[in-house]
Amino acid sequence: MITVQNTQKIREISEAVREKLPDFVSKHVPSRLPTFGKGTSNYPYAVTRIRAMRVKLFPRDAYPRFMNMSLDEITRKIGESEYKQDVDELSREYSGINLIEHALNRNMAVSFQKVLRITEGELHELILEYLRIFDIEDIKTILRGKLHDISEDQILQTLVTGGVLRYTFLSGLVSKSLEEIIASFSDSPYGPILKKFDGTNLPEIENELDKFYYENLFEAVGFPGSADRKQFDQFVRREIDIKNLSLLLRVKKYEAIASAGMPENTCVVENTPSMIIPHGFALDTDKLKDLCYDDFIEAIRFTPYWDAVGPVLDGKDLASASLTEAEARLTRYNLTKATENSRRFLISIIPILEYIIYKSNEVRNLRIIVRGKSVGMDSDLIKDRLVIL
Amino acid sequence: MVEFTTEGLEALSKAIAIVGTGFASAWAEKVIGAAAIGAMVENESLFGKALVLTVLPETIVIFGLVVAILI
Repeated sequence: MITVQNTQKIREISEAVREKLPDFVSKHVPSRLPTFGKGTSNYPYAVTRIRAMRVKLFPRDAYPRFMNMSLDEITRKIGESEYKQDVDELSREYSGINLIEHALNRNMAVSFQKVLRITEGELHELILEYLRIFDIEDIKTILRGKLHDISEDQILQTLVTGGVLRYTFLSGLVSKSLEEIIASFSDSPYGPILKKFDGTNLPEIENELDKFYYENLFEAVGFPGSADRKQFDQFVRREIDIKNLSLLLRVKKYEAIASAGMPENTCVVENTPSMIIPHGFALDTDKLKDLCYDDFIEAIRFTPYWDAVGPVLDGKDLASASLTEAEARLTRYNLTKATENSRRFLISIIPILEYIIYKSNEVRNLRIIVRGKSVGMDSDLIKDRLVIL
Repeated sequence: MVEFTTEGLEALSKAIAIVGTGFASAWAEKVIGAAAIGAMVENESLFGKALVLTVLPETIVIFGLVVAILI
């Protein structure tokens, strides 16, 4: 089984090899030598077990029922489902909406730790790297919370702990000062990025963390030699595209508002390169970022994502185009693609990634319903934000 | 010098039929067995179906046996 220590050893061996090679050769050697082939990975066992876990997620018809329930009824219903143990154990400490939020997050963290426990070898290594996105999200949450003086309880409520960093470590950070938090990460791979934080540049730090995550992920994938690595590579690149497209849609809408009243074919273009994540799948972000809103819409018409966002954006003026709906449709597109591919590549990493994104989506949907209901949000607004498949 | 007799070639053919199908069913059972255990850990009620699916590749070696008898 490839553990974190073994991964570190592989990296060290790779670096030692690179040092001894002439420059013109070493630049082609990745900093982490990939493990080719499926090796000791227990694909049939892991994939089938995780498929069985996927079946236990809430079906699509559960969400309309949740929408018609009160908060207490939702808590009871969630407490009778796969979240039972989490609700029971946390009910001594929390109640109401706090109980639901903590139970949802804890269950998701436990589920992802279980996925890591089940998988072995190359499969385990790739999933581990993929799940680090939750570490990044949690670090961002803590930094944002501390910077804006959010209460410790509220920060704890939003921590997911679905990655490698454990709840005990992260919850310990919440009570520390910003300087102490950054010092706690000094020995971690995030240390050099977090050291640059000066209290005013949080967006830059967040972008750097995101880019570091994806660079590290592509490094883990290495040269996508096996069919499985190719699938993983494509899956990650599609996710990057969706993130970039969501960002560009927001930026373009903002630019279009700022350009109102300007002559035709001219517009304000924001400087966005630092926010765009490189290595996408089908989006030419270098070209798209410099286009005005109308040209941008015309350009994305020829991408695979148009089927998803087209109905929301096509022929509609800027004011009536709902970006929240467009983002929900992009998430739905990603989930649908994952399902399609998990049916094509039955014994591969894709069904596991599919479970991870479906589980995150379930928790996200339930949180939207619960949060929306607690603040008296209109049910149509809540429905717009849900991604139900 | 090796001499090929009809009896010898017959025996060799039978051995290939049995060994080939034996390996094939063993490999198939390994994969299906691992998958069946994975499914059963999450849902015990699948035991019956999983058992049937696990032993299904045994038919491959039975075909090999039939071929070996017919040779």
